[in-house]
Amino acid sequence: MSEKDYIGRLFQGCNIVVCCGTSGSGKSTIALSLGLLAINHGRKPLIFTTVPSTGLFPFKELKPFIKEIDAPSSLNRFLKNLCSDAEIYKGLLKNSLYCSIATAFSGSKEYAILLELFFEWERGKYDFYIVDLPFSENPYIILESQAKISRVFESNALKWLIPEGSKTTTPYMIRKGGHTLITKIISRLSGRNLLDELRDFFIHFKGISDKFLDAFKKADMIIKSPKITSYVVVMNPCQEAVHITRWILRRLHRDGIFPSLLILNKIRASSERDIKDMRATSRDQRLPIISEEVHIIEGMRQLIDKNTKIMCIPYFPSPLKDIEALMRIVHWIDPFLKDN
Amino acid sequence: MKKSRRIEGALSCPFFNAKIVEVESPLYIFTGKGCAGRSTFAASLSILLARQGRRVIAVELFPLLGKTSVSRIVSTQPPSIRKRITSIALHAERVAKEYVLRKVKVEILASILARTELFRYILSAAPGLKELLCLGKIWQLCKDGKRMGYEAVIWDAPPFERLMELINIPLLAAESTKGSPVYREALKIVSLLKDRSRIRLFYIMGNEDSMLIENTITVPSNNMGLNLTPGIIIINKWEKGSEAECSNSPDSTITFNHRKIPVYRVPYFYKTSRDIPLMIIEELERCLKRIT
Repeated sequence: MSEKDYIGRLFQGCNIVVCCGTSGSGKSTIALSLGLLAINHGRKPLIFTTVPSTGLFPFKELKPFIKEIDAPSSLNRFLKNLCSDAEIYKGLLKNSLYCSIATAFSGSKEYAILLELFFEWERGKYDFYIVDLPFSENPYIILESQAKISRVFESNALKWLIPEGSKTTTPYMIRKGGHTLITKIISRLSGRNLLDELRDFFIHFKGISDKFLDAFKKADMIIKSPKITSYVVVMNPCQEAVHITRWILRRLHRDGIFPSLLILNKIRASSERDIKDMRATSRDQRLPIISEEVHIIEGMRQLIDKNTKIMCIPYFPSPLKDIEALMRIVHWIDPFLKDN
Repeated sequence: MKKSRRIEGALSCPFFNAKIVEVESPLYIFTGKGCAGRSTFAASLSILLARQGRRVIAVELFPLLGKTSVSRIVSTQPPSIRKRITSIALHAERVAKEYVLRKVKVEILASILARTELFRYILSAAPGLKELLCLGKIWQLCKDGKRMGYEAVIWDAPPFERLMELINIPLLAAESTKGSPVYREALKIVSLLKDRSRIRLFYIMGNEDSMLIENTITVPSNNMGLNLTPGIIIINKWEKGSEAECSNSPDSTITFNHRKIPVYRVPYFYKTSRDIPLMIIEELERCLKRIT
């Protein structure tokens, strides 16, 4: 890592940066700004985002570096690679539960991002990967994805849903009777089709579940490795966002992860003087002296470590409709990187 | 004559009323951009209605922090207001247990069923089932609201894009849950959400997103093919212009889906976190007065 490799120094040599934070805090904007900064510093970044480029961020200049994640097509492509038998793949695509998982299931976007990140990182075509996670529960979903998927595919309950062979021992028969009754009640409440589709889904998935779990295990190792992945937590100073950010930091802390950068975005300064103070304090890496924000950071001290840089970005009232608007944020971050 | 009187009597009892009048309590939904002030406005409306002597119930789906945001904001209010506001968090497992109890009707059986590994497994593995149950619960609250003593249901909903995904779940799960009580109830909430006479959808957004207003609403709305139209758009934390201009701004309507939607600007109240609900309540009252 060279002296001038500011990005490398800030993220402690990691080449994956995950932007997480409360909804509306500016995660996507920060992710794009970091991407733009990385390009300016001679890096070749790839930004994973679920925000449609036609919608909020119509930046043509950044288009070659943005990978817009569409959950159904990403998951379908992943399954196609896993399935050696075309019939299994077709069977899964026909399964209505799989279709729901791929399109509307909470977490499908995060899973798709995780898989795409893993494949792109293995391919190594780019040298800096920025992940813009959707929604606020995002760190929970990606950090627990492997455990959650393992629970689904390795649960004891699965053998009752899809019974294999039959035993004639009394305890087994009693349990089987109990489960048959439960299944009947559930199918009365949720519809018989739901259980049939669930069974069909797991039967089709059986042959590829090992490969599927393996990919998630590897992706899990990457996103939890402090040498590979670095986290940026973005928040705005409203009361609700502060509570949720604390929750996010606690969740990261549970896996021994401390963010490299904590960004207090959209800070409204009451005067020009405050903005100058904010810039000065952010550069000095001390606490911002804007009194309203001091207690926010203080409350988070135990959830961040000495390597976590704190940065304040002021509120810009006009929207991000072109690259010049994005540059305002880049101009704010760039000197901060050099000074730190 | 005798027969018709009996019918009249039967119709006037609460049980029959509930069946005839499909929804008793109106549903107010607060959605929009993240951190734009959805919960603050939801809490403000709860307080406003409570001040008028009405009892309301505020719901939130799967709150991250356990406690609902509305309950946190309302906790600063005097007890006379607080007692008229019930705030509930809808957690999938609790809603599922309640649902099973409502259908099975035997408490012991319902609680045994809800505790079984297979039940919990299906709840977590079947995509969309949790969301379906929670949507059904919201519809249930609207349907039985008045019998339970609530005059309005206020839903502190997720950001608009997530809300659209959530509403789309019953439609996606149609094939696998068709004919089941879960599906029927969830479908009713979808029809309720589309019915502008029974719901009021508040779209709250920040000052910086106001230029992209059409994109933020049309893109997710058209993607899902639902064409859910906001009833009111509130641009919160507005900085430009004086407070007097806020609610009487000349560009206070927007045409969306061939409908004119009123747009209101609520000023940014700087560093007065404790008083924010009071100021917002006044702004909200002014918005509602102009509509009604």
